[in-house]
Amino acid sequence: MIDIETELQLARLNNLYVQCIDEDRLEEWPSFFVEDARYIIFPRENLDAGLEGYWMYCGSGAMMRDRIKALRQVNIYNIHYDRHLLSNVVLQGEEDGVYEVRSNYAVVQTDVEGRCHMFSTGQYRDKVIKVDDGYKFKEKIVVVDSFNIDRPLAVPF
Amino acid sequence: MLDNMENNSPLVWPSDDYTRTPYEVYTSSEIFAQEQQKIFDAPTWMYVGLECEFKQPGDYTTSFMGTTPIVISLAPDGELYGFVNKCAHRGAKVVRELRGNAKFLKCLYHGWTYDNMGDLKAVPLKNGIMGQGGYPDDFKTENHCLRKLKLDTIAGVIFGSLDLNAPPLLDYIGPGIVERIKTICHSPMKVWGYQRQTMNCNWKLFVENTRDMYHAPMLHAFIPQFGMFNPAKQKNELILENGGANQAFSTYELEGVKAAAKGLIGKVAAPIIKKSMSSPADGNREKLIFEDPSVARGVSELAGGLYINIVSIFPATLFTIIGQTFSIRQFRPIAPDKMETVYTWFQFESDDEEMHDRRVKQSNLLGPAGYVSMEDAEVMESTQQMIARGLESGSSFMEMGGRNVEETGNHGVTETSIRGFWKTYCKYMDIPTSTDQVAAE
Repeated sequence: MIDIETELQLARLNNLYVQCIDEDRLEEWPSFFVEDARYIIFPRENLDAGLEGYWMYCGSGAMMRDRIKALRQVNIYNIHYDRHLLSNVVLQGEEDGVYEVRSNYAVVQTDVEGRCHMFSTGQYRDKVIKVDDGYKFKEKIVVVDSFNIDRPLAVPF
Repeated sequence: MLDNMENNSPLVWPSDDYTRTPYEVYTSSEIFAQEQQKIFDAPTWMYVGLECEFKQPGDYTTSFMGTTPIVISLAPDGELYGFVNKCAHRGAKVVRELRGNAKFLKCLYHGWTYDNMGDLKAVPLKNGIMGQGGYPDDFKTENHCLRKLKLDTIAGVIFGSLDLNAPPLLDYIGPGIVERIKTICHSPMKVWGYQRQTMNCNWKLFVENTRDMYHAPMLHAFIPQFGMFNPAKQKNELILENGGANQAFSTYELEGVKAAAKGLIGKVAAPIIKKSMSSPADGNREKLIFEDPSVARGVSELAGGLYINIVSIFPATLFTIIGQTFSIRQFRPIAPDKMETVYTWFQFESDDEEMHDRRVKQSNLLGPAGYVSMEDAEVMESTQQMIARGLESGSSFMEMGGRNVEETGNHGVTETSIRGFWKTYCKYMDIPTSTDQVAAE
């Protein structure tokens, strides 16, 4: 029997997570993870074929902070706004204090001239653990259904 | 541009030294259509797969050459076959999946069934139903096979041509680059994954980008920050015979990366590169310090200490080696202002876990989110927009490194490889040249 209260808390974690990205508070993005967490953007084509081929791989908090630093200081990419649409947050189960959570995401991207398009969609597959002041991701794998991307992928999903 | 009625060429090239490219080649539908005939459905060769993708008889992949959809399959006789994915009946798509395994390939529409060699084997209702209908008596399945490709391989890498009379692959690519491919693909490989990116730009803008070594430290500011490579130190080799292949490469030693393990490269090369790359608009850029710089630190693993190798094979194939990352790209023209890039990343069966982890970490350098590649999509899409929205007349200007097309160079501060691409392009497209424009400037 799933604890609905916990599921709500985990939904709130994901809501705050996407809000942080959409509001361009990217420096806070790594703080949603524990230090030895993994963040992977995984094109579905490769998952289905038993391969890897990740678009983005952060194997530690350090790599996450480095990614944001690079975006802010050196990388150049299309001027845009991202807006996440998040739904279907479902607590799959819990084992040894690790919560398995899946949810649907979509990112609608608006360009420099104010035109938007559906940029990406797929599923978040999270492993979440409880920490002192709430919950943090131990792992977030973004399985991307739309594995043919247009525009650069700069900001994490 | 003048029409050249004799050659049936849609335009005259505005320079005979290939220092000018007319912008209409990036926007014209007529030129796009001619390219399919003269460059892709032509005696040229393109990457179509890796042998390691085909393990069991019946294994197949779908891909493309230009705008032509193709299938590569391993037949029961142990050989690879390639054919066009268009039913010989009424043009339907025969194989719908990206990849898979099948003993027979059956078209969904009327059930025409082909084998793994692309030969027609069975046609439902060939003899009609209860004496009604059916095909004429002279119908023979062997006259309705899928159009075949010519295939050949180098070191486990499969190339295809739509022209069964294409010159031998080894002649097309040239012995120097063939040897380099063998150095890169030195032992059994395995696919790490596929990546697909669609961009709203002409495919040739991307080919130019991959033959342009000196943009890298400027557009991809990540590079000078980590002292990753210096175009002044790169070697360049352009083959103008046959295929017009080009490679740019550098070794760990050339880049001064002997001390990479100690993390010194950033401190030595970065300031030198940054100073020569900068312009007054740069201002004070804060030094980028990574908590985990290993993503930008390769270790020598290939013969000769090869660190970077960008091999561009005309028309639309690219090998990219940077540090521990190995990938091959196909460039697929979709429309004059749209293209797709498909990466096939590979690793080696002999990799241990540590090497695998290095490769995964460094994979952050390339691909759609690549530290040293994400800017390319932005600059090419915005270039296409400016070309298409502005006046389509006029040409680009390419005199970096001189005005000729040199075959070898000891540096990458040049556009010679791009001029070489256009020279090869004009050859296949039968486009004559003139000096009128340069004279008028």
